[in-house]
Amino acid sequence: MVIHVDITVFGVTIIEGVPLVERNVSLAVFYFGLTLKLVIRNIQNRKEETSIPDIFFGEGFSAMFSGDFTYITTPLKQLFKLEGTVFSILVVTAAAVVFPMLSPPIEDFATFRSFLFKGLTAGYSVDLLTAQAREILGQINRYSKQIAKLTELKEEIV
Amino acid sequence: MIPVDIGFGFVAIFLSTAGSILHFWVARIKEELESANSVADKMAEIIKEAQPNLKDVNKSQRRKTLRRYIRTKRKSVRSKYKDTWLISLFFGIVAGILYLLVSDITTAFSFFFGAITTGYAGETFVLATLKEENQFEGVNAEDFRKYLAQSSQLTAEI
Repeated sequence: MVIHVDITVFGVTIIEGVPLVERNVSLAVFYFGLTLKLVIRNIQNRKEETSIPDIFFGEGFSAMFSGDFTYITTPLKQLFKLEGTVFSILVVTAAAVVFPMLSPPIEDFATFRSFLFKGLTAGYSVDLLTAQAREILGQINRYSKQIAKLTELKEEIV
Repeated sequence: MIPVDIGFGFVAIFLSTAGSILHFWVARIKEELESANSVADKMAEIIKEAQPNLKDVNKSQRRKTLRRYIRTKRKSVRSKYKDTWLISLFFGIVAGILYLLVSDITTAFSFFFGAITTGYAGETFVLATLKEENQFEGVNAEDFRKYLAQSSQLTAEI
């Protein structure tokens, strides 16, 4: 769906009827939410020697300028293990595409604002939810293996 | 058509950033005062550093010297806490965007005042959370290791 927006500056209309595709707006706010989450994570995990670009763009970003490309290769390797930044981007993109289909139609500024806010919070939390779900599933898998092994041992003893 | 006033939007983001920066300075001044033990000590230190022959010059000269000194001092504090300063700036902008998404854009005084307090409170909240986490990590890593070393030394002595 396309939304038409009037851009005004202090009440004076500058551009009238700018067409915005709902899906693109949703992608932009979802990515913003993800960026916010990644930056907060980087700030939490920062060490004394972490440089400022590394805080905002992730560890290894500044090393890229001195020829160390692990900043690009590591996420690509992690993608095959279904983890890392690239995987997060894929998950968030999928969520952003689905989001306009689920949200109420945009009719006025209030619904547009709530669309953006919900998109931002969803973008922030989708990656978080996926990571937690993966962790829980991994734990269930580990526990079920342990239970199977214990059952085997019990049978041997009996 | 959805009217979007980017003028007032930018003003709100700017004010929220100002609130966030205000918190940065309040926190830094508090930190500086804590390290100097008291306000009197800090003032004595500032006057001592500013100009040795400040008493001998006229009022306007003295004011000019002090103003120059404060400006350079402010710059040096900003560069000393460069990463914290940029993080404050970033969270100020984020708080401003969030504020825009949850409140109606009006020209009322309360709207602008709300933007400043949102920036200030948002910054306090985020930095306090991050500080708590860092303290917790600190306890786990270095302090705990020191404590263990001390206790094992005591045990050996006994």
